[in-house]
Formats: sequence, structure tokens, C-alpha cells
Amino acid sequence: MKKLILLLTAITFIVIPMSAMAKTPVKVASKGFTEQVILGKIMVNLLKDRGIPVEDRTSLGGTNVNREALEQGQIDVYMEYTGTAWLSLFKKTEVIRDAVELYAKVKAEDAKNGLVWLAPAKFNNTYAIIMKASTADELGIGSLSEWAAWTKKNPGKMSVSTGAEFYSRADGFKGMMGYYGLTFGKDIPDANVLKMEDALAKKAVRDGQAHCGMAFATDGEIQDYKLTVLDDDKNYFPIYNPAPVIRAQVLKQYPEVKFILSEIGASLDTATMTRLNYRVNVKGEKPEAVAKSWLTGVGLIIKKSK
Amino acid sequence: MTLRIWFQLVKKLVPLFLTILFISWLYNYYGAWDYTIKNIPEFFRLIVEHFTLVIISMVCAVLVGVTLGTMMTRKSMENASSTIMTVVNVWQSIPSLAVLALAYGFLPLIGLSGIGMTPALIALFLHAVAPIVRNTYSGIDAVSKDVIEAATGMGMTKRQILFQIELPNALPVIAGGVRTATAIIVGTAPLAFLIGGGGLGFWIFTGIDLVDTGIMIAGAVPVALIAMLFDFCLARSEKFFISRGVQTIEVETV
Repeated sequence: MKKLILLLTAITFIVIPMSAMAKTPVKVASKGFTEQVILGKIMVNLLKDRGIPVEDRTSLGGTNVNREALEQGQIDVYMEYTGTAWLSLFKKTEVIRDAVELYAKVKAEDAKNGLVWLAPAKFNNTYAIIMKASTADELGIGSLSEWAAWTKKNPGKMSVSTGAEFYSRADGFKGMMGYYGLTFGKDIPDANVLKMEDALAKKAVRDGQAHCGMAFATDGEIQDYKLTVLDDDKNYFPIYNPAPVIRAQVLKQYPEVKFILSEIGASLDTATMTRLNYRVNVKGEKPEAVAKSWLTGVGLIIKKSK
Repeated sequence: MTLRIWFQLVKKLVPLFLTILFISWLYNYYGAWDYTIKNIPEFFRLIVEHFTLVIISMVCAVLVGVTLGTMMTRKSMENASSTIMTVVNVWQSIPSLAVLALAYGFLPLIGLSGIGMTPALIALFLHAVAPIVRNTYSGIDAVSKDVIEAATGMGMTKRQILFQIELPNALPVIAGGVRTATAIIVGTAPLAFLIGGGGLGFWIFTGIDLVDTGIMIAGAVPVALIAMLFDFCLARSEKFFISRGVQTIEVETV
């Protein structure tokens, strides 16, 4: 017991002042799914390389957890998607299809909260409707218009797998049906919509449990599962770019972070992000390793010669 | 005297009243009520799915669990029973979410689908059967040997001893297992949504994904009420089914 008290005193008097004297690290977080973890690791490694003290808080949880932690200062920065911020965090119902306008609006909205949106990445992580390549050939479906036409001709036949969020979002499934001239409940009855965890929706399509399903445009498995992305020929799905969201206070302490993190977005397009996701989800590489190799590959980190 | 009855009544009613008040406040505050009203057909479909999940897996678990547990106490099974108990104990320590994940991962290997209501039912059943087997086995095992000897002396057959002596005497312990199993099933059922099993978990996860507490509450509160309902029904039926003589403890009702 005495030893314990001694130890605790030692900690209070030595360790805590020491950590306070050192520069407070930038706490980098991410949501729990692969793409987010890769993005988080990219930020962590890039900042470290430029000599900024970093605390790795990646894979923190869902949108809600990250946002709340950011607002309360438990984390300093994470990547958020413009669409998710607009619809889920700010509770707007209006769907904006222009990427630049959406980014500007989200940035302005968050300026009030003391949060800064840095330069967005080029890639677009929006929803996509996927179908087994063989089914698509068989039914003669290549685009969402053809999909809608087939569904209209065969009411009650089309089955869909989806995650909870896509099913209920303002820019989600029901909206898509309406946009392509279908009626939910009539052309596709509710019983034909299998709802499950986001990542499983693709597997349900691969295993033939549903004709088509929801995926993200940057999902690495689409190619591996031999799935086709149905062409969104009437441009229903909005463009959703991710961008680092950082607390303004942190930028005061480390003004250079703004420029460092803004370098990431320019070289991350949809094809690149899909390939990085593929390397983790299908090839089984570690997000950390994928992030590092991408950073050195595009020259953001120069390999030091030993 | 009357004062005491009133006091008893108040003691029971006040927590109930406060719970109702709290739930209705939650419902109003987060707009869960509006969401439920707006989606009333979906609400009823989810309720039906949820009850289907709970009741089917429950009934199967009780039937299989009690049968297996009873069989294990027979002389011929003596060797196998300790092995089965080890398996049951290990199985029960696996978290429910992991059991769902296992069902999702393993069922495709034996040619079944890993997504949908069937794998969810299988997972719930497999997880709930463990405490029932264990309690049935130990309940029957604990019946005093003197009682059985007396029954044999009275000329009762093996079958009569099982149904008139052993099972009735073990019933309080078996009932404990059933309640544990129900708690597991009711607690895991909302997770069934993740592998496409349906049920009220859908609204809970929608609420989390959309950062909308109202939808989450609209799913979570009915789940909690269903859990309370099942616990209440079980407690009541225990009072009814278990013979007075072996009701060792007063069974609490909600």
C-alpha cells in the first residue's frame, strides 16, 4: 500500500509536469472502417515525418463518437465526408449535388463551432449500387435506368441488400428509387430489402441472396467479388469528398499543420483510394504499412538513406 | 393494517410510474414518438420479426436443452456428460456478438447461407441452449439420492422417477437456466440485424449510423420493454409451474 502511494506521488510530481512541459501532441483520430483507418494513418505518419508530435487515436468508433470527441477536444483532427456532415451532423434535408458548393457550405457551418475544414481529398466516397457481373449480364442491366426499367417490368421481383444508414438517409435508397421513377413498396416491397451491416451488403450480393446491393464507390472488394457497379446515368448520387476537420485551437499552436494535411488530398483520387482499400481488405496488408508506402510512393515522405 | 397494504402498493407503483414517466419523456424529447407513428407499419413488422427471433430460438433451446441435460444424467451417458459440460461451459463464455459472427462465418462452409434470419436464429439458439443444458444437468444431479431410493422402494419405475421425482425437484434450477437463456436471447436479438436477421435492432443501428437519437430510442425502448415482458412472464409461470414444496425462494415479480 505504501509503495503504491509512493508510486502515485512520483507519477503526480514527475510524469505529469514532464508531459505538460513537452509539446502537446496532435491527437489524430478516424472512424473504424478500413478507408478511415488508412486515412488516419496517413495523417499520423505524415505529421510525424514533418516533426509534429502526434498521438495516434485511429479506429476510434463511428461518426458520432469522432464528432463528439472533436467538439470536446478529446481528439484534434479526423477525416469527415462532406455528405455525412451535411446530412447526419448538421441535420440538413436538402441534397446538394455540387461537390464544391457542398464543401463550402459545410466549411461555413463548422466555422461557427471552432472547427476548420482543410483541403478536401479528390476521391469520392459516395454510395453505389452493385450487382453480380453474371446477374447483370443475364438481366441485361448496366445502368440504374436499365435497373429501374427491369424492376418496373417485374414488380416485386427485384431484391436489394443494404446497410441501415443508406436505407434511411435522405440521399439514400428510397430517394434513389423515386429519382429513377420507382415506387417503394410497390415496385420493390419492403420484404425484398435485406437490411444488414454495411460491409455485409456486398457479400449478400456475391452469395446470391439479393440481386443488387449497396456499396461504397471506393470499396476494395467490388473487383474481387466480381461485382459490377451500375452506372448512375441520371446522376442521383451526390459527390462526397472527405477532408480533415481540425480544431481551430490546434492550428493556432501548430499553424504549419494546415499546409501539411492539405497536401494529402491532391493525390488521393477514387481509383487510388479503391486500390488502398483493396490492399487492406482483400490482400490483408496492415493499414499502417499501406499508408506509409503510399506516402513514400507519392513523395510526401522522402525515404531517409541509412 | 390498511396503511401497510397502501404502503406496499405505493412501493410497487412508484417505480413503475417513474419508469413510465421517464420513458415517455425520452420518447417526447428525442422525437422517437413521431418517428414511430410515421413508420407504424415498419414498427409492427420489426416487432413481429423480433418476437419471431426470440420465441423460436427460445422454444428450440428449451426443448433441446432440457432433453440433452436430462439424457446426460442417465447412467449410460455418464462418460459423455463431463465432456459435454466442458463444451457447454466454454461455449457459454463466448460473447454473443462473436457467436453471431461465428454463425455468419461457418454456416457457408456447410452450404447454408450466412446472412438472414436463419443464421441469426441458429446463433441465438446455440448460445441460449448452454445454460439450459447446464442447469438441467446439475438440477437433476442435485436431487437427493435418498428421495430416489425412497421412490425406488415404493416400486416406481425409472420413467416414473424421472417425471414425478427428478424433473419436478430440479425445476427451480432448470427455470433459472431458462431465465438466463432468455436474458441472453433478448440481449442478443438486437444484434441479429447485423447479419440480416431483422428485428428492432434495425432502428437502433439506423439511429447510431444517422446520429439520430430519436430513431435509436424508438428501437431501444421497445427492446427493453420486450425484455421486461419476458422476464415478467417467466417469473409468473415459474410460480405457476413449480410445485409449492420445492419453491425455495419467493419468486420476485416485476
